[in-house]
Amino acid sequence: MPKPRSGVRAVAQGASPGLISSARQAAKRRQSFNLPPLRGCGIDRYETPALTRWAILSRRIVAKAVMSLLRLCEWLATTPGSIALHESSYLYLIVLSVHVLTLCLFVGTAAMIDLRLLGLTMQRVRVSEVMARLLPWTTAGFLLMVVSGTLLFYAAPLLRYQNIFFRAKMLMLVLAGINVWVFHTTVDRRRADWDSDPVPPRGARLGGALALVVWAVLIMLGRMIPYQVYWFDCNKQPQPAFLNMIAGCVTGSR
Amino acid sequence: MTLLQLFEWLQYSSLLTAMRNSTWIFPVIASIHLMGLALIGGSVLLVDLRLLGFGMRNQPLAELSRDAERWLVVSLAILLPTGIFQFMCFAATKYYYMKAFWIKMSALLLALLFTFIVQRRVVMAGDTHRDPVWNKLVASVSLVLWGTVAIAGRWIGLP
Repeated sequence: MPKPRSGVRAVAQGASPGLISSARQAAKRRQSFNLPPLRGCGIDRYETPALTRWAILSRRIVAKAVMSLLRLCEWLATTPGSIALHESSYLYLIVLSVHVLTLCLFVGTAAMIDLRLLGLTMQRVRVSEVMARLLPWTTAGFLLMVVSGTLLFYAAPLLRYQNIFFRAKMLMLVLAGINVWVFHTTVDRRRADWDSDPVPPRGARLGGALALVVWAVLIMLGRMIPYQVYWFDCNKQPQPAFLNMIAGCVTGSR
Repeated sequence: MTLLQLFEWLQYSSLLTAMRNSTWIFPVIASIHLMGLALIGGSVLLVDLRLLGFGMRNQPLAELSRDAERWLVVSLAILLPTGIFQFMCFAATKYYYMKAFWIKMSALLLALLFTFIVQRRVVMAGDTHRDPVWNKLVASVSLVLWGTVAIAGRWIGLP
């Protein structure tokens, strides 16, 4: 029986979706990560040899990291668990549904805390009280989100890796974390001063508003992940180089 | 005009045909629907967890539910229009034959009636003179009804 070259079955047999998988082209792909010299970066290798060496090294490290991430995804896609989840009739859909419905618990309770920080709800309740009572539920929701989300990633590592919306979503998650960290290290340090204010100070309101925006964008990006195939796909080359770059498509000509 | 004819009319109207031809409109509307889902989850949980003795359990019930109800109404104002748009985006007649759709709609109707008639009366009366078992019962019914709406809604979208 001939080996299928693309599709779910091919992925199950070790092919990588969105990647060109013949041996010759795999070798070419490895070569393509040997980056071109530092032309046009304003670094002259005769005037500043140390800086040049450092620049080359750091670029190689980044390229290696990207490459090993890609290899990791390729390897993950071949593990039995990933294939089973990918090809399951119900399990994948159950995990997906859990991920979506946990929105109510995670973003729902988080949004209530953010609305309190904006002074738009529970004005007569102290901020500390709202946080102490609701954050455990938010945390539980977050854990459920992370577990189900990880499983969704594990079901199709390469498809997610090469999905622009997935990448943007991960970036937004980092931004969400930074927002929480900044809030807790700045305005939240002085929470005692404004704990019972109906409308908290500007810094706290800003934190709450940013968090709400981040949740909304995260939800939208997450919903968009399966829709990428309608307008962009690493398998359908040629594509604009910019799209190939942000989606992390591996093409022979890079 | 029967219900099926209404759905057919919706399906073939020119605005909706244009909407169906766009690959963007549907996921964008679905995302906004999900944002509404998150918000309604928060406001329903706020009251129901309180009734069950979790969450904001030290707050007066009536006050808390007034706060939550405002955001419940806001989330419904997001969910209902986007829900109707989603319904109209694809073949409306498809939903006519879909069990999950009718389960969701019936559960939604029941949930709305229960929340705005029964539960509201219970929470506005406060929790001083009542057996806490009643609070727990009301919260459980509310959670089951809204949960059915959510799960049936998810079921509509499954292949």
